[in-house]
Amino acid sequence: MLNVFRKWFGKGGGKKTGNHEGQNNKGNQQSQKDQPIYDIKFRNIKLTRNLQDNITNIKNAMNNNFDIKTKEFRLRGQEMRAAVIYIQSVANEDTILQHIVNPLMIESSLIIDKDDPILFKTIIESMVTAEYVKVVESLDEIIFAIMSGDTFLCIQGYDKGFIISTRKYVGRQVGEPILEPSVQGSQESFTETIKDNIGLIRRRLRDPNLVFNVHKLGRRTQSEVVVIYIKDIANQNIVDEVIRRISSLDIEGVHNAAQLGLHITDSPNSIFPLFQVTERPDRTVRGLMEGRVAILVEGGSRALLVPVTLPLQVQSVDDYYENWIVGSILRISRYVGLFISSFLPAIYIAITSHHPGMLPTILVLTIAGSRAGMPFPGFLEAILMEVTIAMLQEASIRLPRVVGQTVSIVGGLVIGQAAVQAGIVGPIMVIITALTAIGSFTIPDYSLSLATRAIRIPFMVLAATLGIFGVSMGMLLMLIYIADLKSFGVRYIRPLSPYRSSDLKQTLISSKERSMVDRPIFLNPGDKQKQSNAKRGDGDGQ
Amino acid sequence: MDNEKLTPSQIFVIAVFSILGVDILVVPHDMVSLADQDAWISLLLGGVLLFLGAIPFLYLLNLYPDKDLPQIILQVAGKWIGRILFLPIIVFVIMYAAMSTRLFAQALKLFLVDKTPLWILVISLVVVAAYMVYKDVFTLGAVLDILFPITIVSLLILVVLSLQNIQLDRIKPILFRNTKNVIKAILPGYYHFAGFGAISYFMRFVSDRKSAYKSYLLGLGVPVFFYVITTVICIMVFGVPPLKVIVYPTLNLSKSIEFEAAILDRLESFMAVFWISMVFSSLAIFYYASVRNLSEFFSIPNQYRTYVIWAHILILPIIALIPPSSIIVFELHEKVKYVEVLIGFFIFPIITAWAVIKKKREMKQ
Repeated sequence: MLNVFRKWFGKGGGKKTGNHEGQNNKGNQQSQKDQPIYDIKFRNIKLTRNLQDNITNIKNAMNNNFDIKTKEFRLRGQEMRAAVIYIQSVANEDTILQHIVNPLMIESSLIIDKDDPILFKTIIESMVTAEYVKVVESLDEIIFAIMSGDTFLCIQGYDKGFIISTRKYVGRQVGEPILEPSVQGSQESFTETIKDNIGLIRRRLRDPNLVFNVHKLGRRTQSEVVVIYIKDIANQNIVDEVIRRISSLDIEGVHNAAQLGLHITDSPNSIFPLFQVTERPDRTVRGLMEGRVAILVEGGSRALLVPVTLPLQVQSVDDYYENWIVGSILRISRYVGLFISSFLPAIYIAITSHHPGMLPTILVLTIAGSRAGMPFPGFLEAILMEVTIAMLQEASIRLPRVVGQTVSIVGGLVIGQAAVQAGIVGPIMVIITALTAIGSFTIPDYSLSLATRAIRIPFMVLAATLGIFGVSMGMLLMLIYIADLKSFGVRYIRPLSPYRSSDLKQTLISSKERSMVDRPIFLNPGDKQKQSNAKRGDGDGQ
Repeated sequence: MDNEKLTPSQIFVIAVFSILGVDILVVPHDMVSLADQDAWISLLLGGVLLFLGAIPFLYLLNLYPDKDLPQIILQVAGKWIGRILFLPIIVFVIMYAAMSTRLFAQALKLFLVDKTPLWILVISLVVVAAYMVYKDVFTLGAVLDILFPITIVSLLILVVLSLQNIQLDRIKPILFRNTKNVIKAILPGYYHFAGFGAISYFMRFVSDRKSAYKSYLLGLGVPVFFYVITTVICIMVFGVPPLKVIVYPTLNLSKSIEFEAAILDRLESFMAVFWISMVFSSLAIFYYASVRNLSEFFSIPNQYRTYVIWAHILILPIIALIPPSSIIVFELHEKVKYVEVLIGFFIFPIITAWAVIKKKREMKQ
């Protein structure tokens, strides 16, 4: 009996401790991997009771850089020595003087009698007037805080210190959106400061269910990455997946939403962007309300919206500010733009060089007439123009704005007029190239517009070799490729397939804002209904 | 999400494309050769026969909801008899896929790309279909979803535009001293709806079985409608005697349409382009079915499925390119349909009856 008991107990106990140890080990490894490099070095260094030692330790840890400032002073003019350490370039020196040094040195004498000892608790509770104070004792925390712009307050005789928030980042004001301009939408865009960006979102979405999930990312940059979602709308699986991918990342640094997107995307080789990068707070809020997850990165002026699907990338905020008929036309024109920008040169090459019979006779004659005496075949002409346009686009981005005018003059005059007159390129080819470029400008998503540029040339090759049959085969291949792509578990092609009329109404075309009662369900939202189903009056009848 | 399913709307589309394929190019010619101006009646009755075959078939699928056709047959009829019964299905699926590819490639060569060699057309179609099958079933469903409206709209455009050329009296007299031929042509009409069994490879991925069955039966109606309507219109546009000579009447039908505005001079090239997606869809379905067939027949485990797909890239073009002339292709395309009779009237009923008896015995135990 006893034997059995012992056996059972021993086995059970052993198993338990074994498991426990295993978990512990795992946990340690995990945390070691995620920690920044200075953490591993400094985690075990604790503060000492000697003020001078602490200062030297901290300064040494940060390589005694010139902008690390220390100010030593005496509390209430007494024997008690104290010091603040901060980095001049990221900390707000006014705050430090007004809310830390001044109260401790001078004002404290008004509160506390000369003979009373100054307690650790009194300092936090009745002396320091800064917004946030935290007690710390190990060097890794202190160094990270100082690096972020906070101030470390250390007092002689204590092996603990305070971190007091005094961050001040140099940043720009909220500006206008440059990449995603809109006619009717708000004219604000994200800045590089994460605090301001969160404010821009909060102001538009006063929902207590809005969740901000903060992560630190980057071994060296230690950037703050904030995952934002609305708890009762966003699908929990998607949220978990996003958080899992972000927290399992082990990279050196991250400073931009798009860069983070490339790290956490489903298929890194996809030429189609599987995440949406936006600079518009209103679009971010709209995405959140659709049940998507937004990610902000400290130092990046863009938000990342996931999951994304192709029809969502063709939407623009303006669609929602117009009557649904006009909005649908706008959106359809963008689909046409997407199609033209990807396939028009290929179709032109295929038809002119392989199937001239597909065009009306008069048009064929016109094209043939204009191409008479041209030295190059259509395919070469198209490639030539394509390369030129690609270079022009790139040049107009890279060129300093002061000399930016040159590009448009050189591009417009030389390429357009002169090339035709010199007989290098046919006039119709110029029209095709221009249409292609204009088509690519109608796509609201910059990365998607770049993707169409990437697929254009392979399609031109297919057209030149196999004619319109080759183009169709290429389109089928691309369709299969797109249909297989997934963005955080959601198919990139949804909701084009599977059909669901209410989803299609809201995404493919635009729909009456009033009648859009249900949220698009392809993101599996929690709270399915957007607004009440009740009929609304035609205005203020009451 | 992880547990992805095919929706009933996707089953509808798969059902449409499992029948609607290259046959639409040749249906009017084949049927008119047999039953003159009443060909469409035989075709319609063949459609009724299709539904009569499809309903018991659904019953069989319902008995084994998480299995596809090869698995059901091997489960019901055992390892050896099952394989023997299974053999005609394998042959039919491969031959059907290969012959429809060849037929369509020939039509393409005639109407679209006259200079490109046949083998390039066949191989490109097969390779793209292989890529399709290489991805999963749900991608297949999504791709067919996108291709579906293109196909249907192009067919509707053809039907509507042809209405300007019709002469109603060409379809008369209806059933005048022709009843015998009409009845004789019902079975060949039914052959053109071969492939209704292809749904059995997809039913196990369905989310909502009840409505999937409904949309499957609804989906079968679409090809019946289009085959009958194209036949009727071809008869009314061309008349019976020319139809017996024209090999690809449906493409010729689009050739006969002339726009006053002359925007599109050669509509048949455009139709040929649009129908690439149609033929590709049915090829992809049968490609998938054949991969499943061979994997089950030779008990190839799932991780080697890719090699079965690669093997088909070799097998299908070889079978498709073996017939030296287009006449032999037409004959073979017809003969493949006889296997369909064997499958539809013998193998499926045997398996269904066997399965029912087996299930009842299991219930008793």
